[in-house]
Amino acid sequence: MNKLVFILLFFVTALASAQNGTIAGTIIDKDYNDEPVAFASIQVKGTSKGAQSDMDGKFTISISPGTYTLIVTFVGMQTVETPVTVVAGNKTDLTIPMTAEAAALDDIVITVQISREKEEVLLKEQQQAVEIKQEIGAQEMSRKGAGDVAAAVSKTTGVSKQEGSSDVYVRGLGDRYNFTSLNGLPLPSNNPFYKNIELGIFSTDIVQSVSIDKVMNVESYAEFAGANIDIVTKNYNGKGMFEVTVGSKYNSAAMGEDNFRLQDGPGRTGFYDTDIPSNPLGSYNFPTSWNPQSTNTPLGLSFGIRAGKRFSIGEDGKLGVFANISHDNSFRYINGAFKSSVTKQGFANKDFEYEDFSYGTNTTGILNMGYQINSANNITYNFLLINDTSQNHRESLGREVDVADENAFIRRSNFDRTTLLINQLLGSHDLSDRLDLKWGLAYNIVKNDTPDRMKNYLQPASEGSSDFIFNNDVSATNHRFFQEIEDNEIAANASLEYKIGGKEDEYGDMQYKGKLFGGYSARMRTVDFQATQFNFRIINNRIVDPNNLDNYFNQANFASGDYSISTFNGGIQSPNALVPQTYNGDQTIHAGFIGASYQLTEKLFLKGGLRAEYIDQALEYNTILLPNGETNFDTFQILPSLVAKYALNEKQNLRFGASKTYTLPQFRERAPFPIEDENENIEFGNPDLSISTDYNLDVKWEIFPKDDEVIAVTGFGKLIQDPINKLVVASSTNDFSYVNSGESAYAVGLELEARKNIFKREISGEENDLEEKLSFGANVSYLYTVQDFDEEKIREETDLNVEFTNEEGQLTGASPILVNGDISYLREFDNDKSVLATLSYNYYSERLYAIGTNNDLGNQFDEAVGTLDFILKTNLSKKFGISLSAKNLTNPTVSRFQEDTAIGDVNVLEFQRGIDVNLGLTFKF
Amino acid sequence: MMKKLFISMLAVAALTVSCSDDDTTGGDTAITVDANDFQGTFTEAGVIRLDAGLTYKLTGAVVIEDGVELEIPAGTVIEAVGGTSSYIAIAQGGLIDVQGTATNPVVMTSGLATKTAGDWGGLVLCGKAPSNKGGSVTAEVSGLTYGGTETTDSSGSIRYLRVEYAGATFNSSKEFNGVSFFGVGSGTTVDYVQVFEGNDDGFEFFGGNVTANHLVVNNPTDDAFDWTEGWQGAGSFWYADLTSGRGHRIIEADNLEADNNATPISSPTITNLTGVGNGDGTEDDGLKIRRGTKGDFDNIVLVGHNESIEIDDAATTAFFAAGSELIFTNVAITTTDALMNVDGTDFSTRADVIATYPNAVITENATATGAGSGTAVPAWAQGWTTGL
Repeated sequence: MNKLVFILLFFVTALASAQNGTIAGTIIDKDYNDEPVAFASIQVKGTSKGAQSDMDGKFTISISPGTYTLIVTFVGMQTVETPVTVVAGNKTDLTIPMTAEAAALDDIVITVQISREKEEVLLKEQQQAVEIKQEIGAQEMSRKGAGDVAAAVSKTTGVSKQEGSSDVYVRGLGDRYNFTSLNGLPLPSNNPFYKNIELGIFSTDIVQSVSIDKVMNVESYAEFAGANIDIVTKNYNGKGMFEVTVGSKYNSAAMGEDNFRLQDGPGRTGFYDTDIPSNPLGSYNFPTSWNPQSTNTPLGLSFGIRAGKRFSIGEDGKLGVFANISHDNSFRYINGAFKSSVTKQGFANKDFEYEDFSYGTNTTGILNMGYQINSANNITYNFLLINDTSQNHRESLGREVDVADENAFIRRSNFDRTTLLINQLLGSHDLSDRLDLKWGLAYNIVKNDTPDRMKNYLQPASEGSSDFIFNNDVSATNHRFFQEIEDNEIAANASLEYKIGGKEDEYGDMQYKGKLFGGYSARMRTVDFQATQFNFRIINNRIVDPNNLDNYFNQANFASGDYSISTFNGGIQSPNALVPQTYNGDQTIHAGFIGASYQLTEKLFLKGGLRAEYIDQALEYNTILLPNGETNFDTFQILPSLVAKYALNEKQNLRFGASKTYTLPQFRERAPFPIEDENENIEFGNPDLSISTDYNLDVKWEIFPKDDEVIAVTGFGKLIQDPINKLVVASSTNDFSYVNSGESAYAVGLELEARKNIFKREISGEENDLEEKLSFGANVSYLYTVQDFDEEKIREETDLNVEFTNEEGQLTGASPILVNGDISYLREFDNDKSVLATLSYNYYSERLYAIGTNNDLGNQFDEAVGTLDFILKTNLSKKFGISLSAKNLTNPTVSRFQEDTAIGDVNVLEFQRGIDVNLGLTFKF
Repeated sequence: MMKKLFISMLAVAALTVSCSDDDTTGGDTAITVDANDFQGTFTEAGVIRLDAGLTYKLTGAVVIEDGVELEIPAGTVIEAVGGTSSYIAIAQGGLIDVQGTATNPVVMTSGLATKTAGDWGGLVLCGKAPSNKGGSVTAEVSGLTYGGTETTDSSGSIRYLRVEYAGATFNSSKEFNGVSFFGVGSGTTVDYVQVFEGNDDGFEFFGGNVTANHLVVNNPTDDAFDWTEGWQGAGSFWYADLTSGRGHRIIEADNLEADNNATPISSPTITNLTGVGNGDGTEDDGLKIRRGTKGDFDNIVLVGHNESIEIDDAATTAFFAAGSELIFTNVAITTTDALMNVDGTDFSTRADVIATYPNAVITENATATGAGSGTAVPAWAQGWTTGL
């Protein structure tokens, strides 16, 4: 695989050759400390050649050899003409000073709209900020073929993604340790299994940039130790756009499957819902078929319409509107194998091969309205509606001890629908020259429904028989399940900034060295969960057709007493049989913060502050494991943060960050409700689970050789007190639960990031210079983690018991080595014609999946996986573009194994995801 | 008036009993309960004395914590109406005292009009005796902790008790047993107990050292008797009848699934057992001895099994082959099929077994009496039981 990268690298490098000469210059403001002048216009007199200076005042022009005159213009500055000689193959360096037009600046306010979608702009911000920032903009996401935010963040330093799930790991710290926000306001999760929203449901089409803040700043949320991932949605500032995209999605594994099976009911649109039928226990009233429904052409589709326009309102007001409606759906097929309950002797009590059919939809509607009242006041309203579904049908065939030595058959069909509604109102106001106010309000509603999950368990009629009867060991093995979760949150932020250290410059303008800031933020969240499972107890077991279970589960057979239906609370005779299992969570967080940012010397910038949070988490539950209980905790946290930047020179910075943060247990981790996953594992929450405290330290060195280049090295250390882990409890059921499993966990690591051009040149075009560029980006992380395990602590703090195999171990999900690499080739042929090709590689090394517990069972590890993607984007004309991506090209086998059995490592999970090919067309009007 | 007098006399009698029982730490503070809404977690030291004249409606979980004693006089009927969430659990340090008699047993049953297996949870005892799952373990039902090092620990006394229609489902793969013994110590008395129409196993032993005699299981949906996690106790006079067509094995015996070599190793002594199977071909072995257990079986009568004795897994097979730690004496098999299956191989006769495992101890005795009357219901199991 590495070979392939290198071959391509050499091939493309060979294309590079210099014919022209280059003029490279910097425009500076002579009147103002020789500061660079950005966005100045540079024309080569008598030619059509020209350029615009960048944020550093720099520009380059490629031109045939000769002597020319450059004309440099900028609003409010005196126009400069300067001669220049260009030699073939050489670069001519120039510094061009400009001076202000007399008295001109007093009257003109220059507002420069910069695009925060661009890599260069974000890099510039990263360089200039006092805070340690890491951002990925729309441009970089597009180049790397990231179709959604999850894929986008996994292209950034120190971030990896759990294969086949939405779990994102930052510096080896998983879901629990990260926090997701949208435009600086909290985002609820779409899935009760996770704290963070599945980043994959955000298409990059609606995203301007994503920032991955690994160092806490007191003005933002502190509930993380890995990263605060903030998604910034598009705000439209241009002259107007209207864009239509259509595409198709092809998965190599799914297309090969001509009998693609999914459960009856949900259909294709993703807007299905169904309720528990009336009288579900007294007769058979379920409207959907138990029999899987077949689809012939598992080919996914996508379409989207995007429009943006800016309106003028009054003299100063501007209203930017961006709207998006899009839908996509995709099919996936996985043929894999799993084993569970593997003994010390290496024997798997469950050993199955499975076929997994899945179909997902995502429909997104977005409306962003940014109203710039005047240069001092902005108000933005964001509305986002996402309807995301996943439908999964799995058929497993194999062995389960005490059921059948072979051909035990499990079928599980699940439809999961999340509707997410987000309303945000944000404002920023310059109250005076020195005082700024920012505020935000959000009201978010998430509804997650699992209507009508079906499960059947069949076994051979007798050993070796090809006829099937029901498995009836437990009445719950054949069931239908209905679950609803509603999550509501109101969040509010307000902050004031007051500039300090002001000094008049030679023109009488105030220049400030720092600012004081303070504010308040609140979050009020409720989560209401309810679930009911209908268990079909087989009374007259007999031979059935696995593909026609409707022939058994019907009203006639119910009436004749072949089977009965009951919930975990009993059957038709039990008065409370239909009372669902529930939990209701209520979380309130009030936070206040104060801080200051100051330039101490010419090179040293400091920012520090304190955040104080009052957190109250209350949970009531009524479940089959623990009826009518409640659990509460509240805590007051003082969370300091300090960051420092030392500018070694204008291209290099040294940075430092230290902070204290916390990690809260999630409601479902505290609610004693048993949840069953597709691999037959059951987990339940632990009401005694408590908060973890995190201490974070970062040191970073960075250099920006050019605008679009960076090389950075970061060292970090983390101490997590009372870390939470999911573990198999010491009990005969082998179920999972959550505990604060030890005194502390440590993580130390090193991150290396480089983005560099291999070559970049300007080619003379008819109007403007055209660019040809070959660039590479790479980031590598090394991580060492260790945590202690304390059985006694668990016994003291909770009602659960855990017996650890080892006294200490790694953090789960923490790959010691992460590598992301990409190589991109861009060639512009005309103003509106271009080709961008990117080859992108991701790798994570072997990582701990499950901590070994109970009877010295070994740890479970996920094996290392490398994935290779190819992305081609073309603009064929001003109005038409084609994109093609082929992902997971090498289609690696994802596997997990259990260590230290008597027969060595036992492979407990194995599957391949197939190659995904997407073809998309874009029409711009 | 007479009734009250009778109750106070009972109370005095109980006082005498509990004073002589040095495990009782709670003194004799009487704890009152509502017979029509019998549920709750009882943590304040004291004694709950039920009234045989009342029918108790078990509406939820009754958890008897450390220092509390649940005393159930002869003839008391407890009817569960709360589904899965109704069960009776004795936590570590808690005591149960079931005072049934041969003519007047205590009955724990379903309170529903049409009674079915699995209508309610069952009886759960958690003690401080060892489990090889760990020094301190969480019970699969009730969430209580059990296990420890006190082999002689007492969870109380159970005499003449019927547990009917228990075995409710509590998650997608597990159900209650009729009576579950989690780490129950040898100080506990268990004698004359029937599990009728249970929805899972009749009796299951999770580690511990308790001896349980005179047990009857009829019409379970799974195994009649089950042990795992290093049970070191004993059982004598066990009678199981699976002829209703449901149910699997007479005995399913494990050391431990997760590690067949875990210590302490299950090694009970089982004498005077009769197991009447249903021979339906699905998991219907008489004795399934596996996952590293030891055992001393004597006077065993088995009928109606496709495989009378099955020995699985390397560790168990080794104990059998050695002929000292897993032995079978005086076995009467009334079946046309194989006598034994050892490690995957069928053996029709004792001679065949010995030819392969020369040191193994297995002796047949056609006149073995089993639980007392060969394959018939023994006299001691008549009168106080039901459904036989």
